[in-house]
Amino acid sequence: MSIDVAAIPVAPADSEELRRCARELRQASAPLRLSAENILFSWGMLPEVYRAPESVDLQDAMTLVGPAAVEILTGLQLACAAVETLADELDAVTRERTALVARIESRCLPGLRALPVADDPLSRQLAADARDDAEAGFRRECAALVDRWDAAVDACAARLRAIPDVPWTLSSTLRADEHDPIAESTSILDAAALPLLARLADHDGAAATRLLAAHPEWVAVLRRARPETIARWWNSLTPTTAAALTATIPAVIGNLDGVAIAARIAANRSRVTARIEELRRQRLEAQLTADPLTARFRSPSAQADSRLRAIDAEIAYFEAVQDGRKQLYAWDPDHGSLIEMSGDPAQATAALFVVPGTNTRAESFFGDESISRFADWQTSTAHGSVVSFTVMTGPMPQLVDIPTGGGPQFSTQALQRAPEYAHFVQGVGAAQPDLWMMSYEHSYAGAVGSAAEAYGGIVDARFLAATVGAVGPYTPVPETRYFAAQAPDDINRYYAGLRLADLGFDVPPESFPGVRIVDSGLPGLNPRNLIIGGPAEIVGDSIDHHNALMSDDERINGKVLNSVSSLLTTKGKTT
Amino acid sequence: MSYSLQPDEVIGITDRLRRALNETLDRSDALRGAVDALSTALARVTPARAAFDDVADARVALSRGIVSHGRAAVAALRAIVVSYVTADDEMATTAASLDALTRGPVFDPSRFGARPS
Repeated sequence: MSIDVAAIPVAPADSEELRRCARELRQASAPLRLSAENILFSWGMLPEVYRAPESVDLQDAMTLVGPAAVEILTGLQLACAAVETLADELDAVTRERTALVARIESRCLPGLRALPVADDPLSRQLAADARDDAEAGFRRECAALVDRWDAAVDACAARLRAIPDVPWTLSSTLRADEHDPIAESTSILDAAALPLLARLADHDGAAATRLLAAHPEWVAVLRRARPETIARWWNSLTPTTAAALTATIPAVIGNLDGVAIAARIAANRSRVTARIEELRRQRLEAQLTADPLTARFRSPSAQADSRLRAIDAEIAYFEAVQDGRKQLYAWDPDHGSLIEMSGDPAQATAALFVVPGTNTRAESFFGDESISRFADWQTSTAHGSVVSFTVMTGPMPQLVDIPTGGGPQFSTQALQRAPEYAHFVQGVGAAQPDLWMMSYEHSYAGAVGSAAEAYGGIVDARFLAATVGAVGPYTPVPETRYFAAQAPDDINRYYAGLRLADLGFDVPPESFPGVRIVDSGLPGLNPRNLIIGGPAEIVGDSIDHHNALMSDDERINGKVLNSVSSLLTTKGKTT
Repeated sequence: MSYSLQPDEVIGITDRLRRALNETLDRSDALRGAVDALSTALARVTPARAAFDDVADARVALSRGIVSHGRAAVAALRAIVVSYVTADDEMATTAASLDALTRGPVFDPSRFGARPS
């Protein structure tokens, strides 16, 4: 073995590669803990809704999932630590190798010359002995490197072998099924709803009313079904059966995502007569209360007048629905949902979902200052090519609830509305797949739209109008285009991007990757208010500018109204 | 013990669990990939690799076992729900026929005489 750098052994493994792989393994194992918690949290709700002798075993079935996750994490963390220690030890030996290489290379530098050897046998013998000694030393050093590397590897193997085996109780109970399909399991939602739908449609829907009266819990089961499944079922019905179901169970058909849009509108229209009658009865009672003779004994007349005005506004709204001036796509007063539609879906090529945010209530749809004005403007401007929906899928946060612990500063209601909104989006898409879909989310509703994406509420474009953004971590959907607009002094800007648990929203809309900022045309802070108006005027302007983005007045909100209109006309190509 | 089944809630839980298990399966697959990568990096240090494979493979198998076990539980719940939504008519029919049978006078006057007024 001659003294040559090429003869020096190299490390048996790339320490940097080992560290990188160990780091990735740690990162890959950590989320399993979250998965286990998610499984256990879901399963933990079961005893509340299923109580029977045989259910006890089922409820206990997941008790080992938590310990299994801990076992996986602990074992792999120890394994990673052992590998990282190996990498460190390999590096230490490699540094010795580097020193050896440097020594060998310094002996072979071009400028250095070996001392001349006298041309006699003794000198030659001495020189040969010296060379042999040097080579033996070189061999010993190379062997030492190999020995130390081997020792490091053996120590690593010993540390790995010292990690306890997975306990038998875990490995025997939680055994991987070889036949377990790799693909995602199929949903139970459709499997549960389809038999019920079939029974409702039996004999042209003759028994539907009786069945739902006997089993009111079916409605919730039906509403959980996927909209595309509902759409397939609905399209398979004969016109007679569909008409019969629309007439006999309108509250179900009128709120079932996936049913044809026209059928839902007809179903909900047929329901408002009873509501109008009820409101008229309430009006009579309120009139008695408001009567000047009795008012002084019962309630302040101003309050009673206000009640009368509210009833009148609601009656006027439902009369408009009754005579077709307004169209109700969804209406479930018990749940707090109301979705109004404007336009003709049969002619439209694009759909706009206007989702108003904080302070939206059913009353927001009634009266002259209806919340649906933005959507109506878009439908009217598009001359038939757009069908618009003003969407309230359930209770939205109210500012008046802040003293009692509610309000829009919490993300709770956004997360509650998200699956409902996703269902709504999927329902329109399933009923009319050729529509290009865009949402216009205002204020708090931006968090609803962002969270809904995780439930499949995917639209072609999202316009975030002064929205709170999203609860992080948030990843935009690749196939969706994002637009955002707000006044420079919008009230949301004061706290955008801040979150602590369910308080606040940490991903402001302007920070969404790929978002396109649209000029709102709204003014910013009025400098005069810094001197004269004070904080009250500054905040007042911020709120006005925030609310302006729901206006249908072109003098106030012209830029955004026209940007959205342009997006709808060009299918998202220009604003 | 009181017996109760809230079908829509059970369905919700089952579907939520199904999604959680799908997510777990994805994470288990990612874990498998990370374990394989580290095992490959240890290819030339055979004793360490063998020991690492023993430790890591058992844990990856356990993560898959969580999915399999969970899916068995989902299947059990699914069977309960499906039997509820499909057997309800039979139960209703049986209940209705029982109702008809018992609707008559429990106290038969032909056998026991007229009920004292």
